[in-house]
Amino acid sequence: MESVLSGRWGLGTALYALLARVLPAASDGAMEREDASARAERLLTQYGDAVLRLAYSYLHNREDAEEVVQDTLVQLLKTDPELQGPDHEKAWLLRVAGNLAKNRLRSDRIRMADELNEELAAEEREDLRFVWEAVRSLPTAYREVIHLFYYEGYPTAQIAKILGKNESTVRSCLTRGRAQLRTILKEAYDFG
Amino acid sequence: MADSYRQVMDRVRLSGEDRARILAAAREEAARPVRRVVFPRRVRRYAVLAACFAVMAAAAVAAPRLLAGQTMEADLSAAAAMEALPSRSALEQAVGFAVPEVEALPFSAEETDYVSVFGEVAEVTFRDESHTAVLRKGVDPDPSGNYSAYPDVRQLTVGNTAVTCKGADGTVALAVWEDGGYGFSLSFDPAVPEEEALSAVAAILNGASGT
Repeated sequence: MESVLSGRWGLGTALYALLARVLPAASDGAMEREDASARAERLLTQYGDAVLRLAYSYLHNREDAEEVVQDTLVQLLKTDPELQGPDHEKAWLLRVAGNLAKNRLRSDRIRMADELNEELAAEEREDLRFVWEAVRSLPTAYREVIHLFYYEGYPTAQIAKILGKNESTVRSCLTRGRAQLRTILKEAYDFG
Repeated sequence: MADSYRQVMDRVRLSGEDRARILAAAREEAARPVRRVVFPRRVRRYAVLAACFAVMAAAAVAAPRLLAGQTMEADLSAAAAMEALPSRSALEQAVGFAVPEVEALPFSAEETDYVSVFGEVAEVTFRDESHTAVLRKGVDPDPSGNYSAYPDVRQLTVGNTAVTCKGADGTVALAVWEDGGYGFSLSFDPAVPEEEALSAVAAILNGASGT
């Protein structure tokens, strides 16, 4: 009987020790999830507009672009990548968003409304509308480089990393994109 | 002009309400459990072996990069698992199989990009000012990654090889075929006439380096 009791106590102690190990780990896990969630909120606040603009530059539609922002956050929450500093965080988000937007373009799931164009037309800002239409008409490969260079201010080496392309290709797309814009805009503006 | 573009893009922004809505939806989506598929016991046994092998293979690929201190590069490439390479031979080395030359495109390529996708699919993009063609080769029967529904899907034959052509109104946006144990896809943007697509496919099939 004593041996049985000690055996039971032994089992109980072992279970207790196991639970003691498991329970703090579970609460640590909850903390980690909360951290990932808090990081998603912080990055959305800091870079949400940049991600939305890049997505819009591909898709020309607000609803599609917002869905890309959401899907980018889902990727962030699910993969919880180790990102070193603000530059890396922003570059990671833009790369994921760019890939998601391009996937959407390939899948023909995009909507047709271009709210930006409608807004500029309603405000009779023909000058801005002219420029937006010109950029919008560029091939995707030129447009993404033009956006990251002129709006986000990235150097070509960093654009190459974000887009997963060679730097020489990025420089070439930038040169060709500028040339095409000059032709479209009949040199009314200098995109240099 | 660059200022005008900035003025246009400044209008695209999220309100606090937009952010709250997007964040809530993203959290909900990320928390959604992955649907589990139950396989028969024999399949599960092989799946465990395959998973072990995949972990070992991933470790073999990741370890040298981590040791070389390329964490940022690795994280960025993990975002897309795509690696740009300088040449066809570098791409062949990355994926471990021969990548065919494409000499009969419907346009004269001015730029060529070589990309390894997950180290499993070779992607070569040919581009001029207004055309793009993308060749993909991998072990998957259809390595295109393109799941669009096209109005026209035609089963054609080039030599002895069956080629699936997808597009609309007699044009081909995507051609998919198998050769030598590999899957191939060739996509065109804009889509090209069927005979032009098939002659590009024939040139790839006839190229000895391709398989």
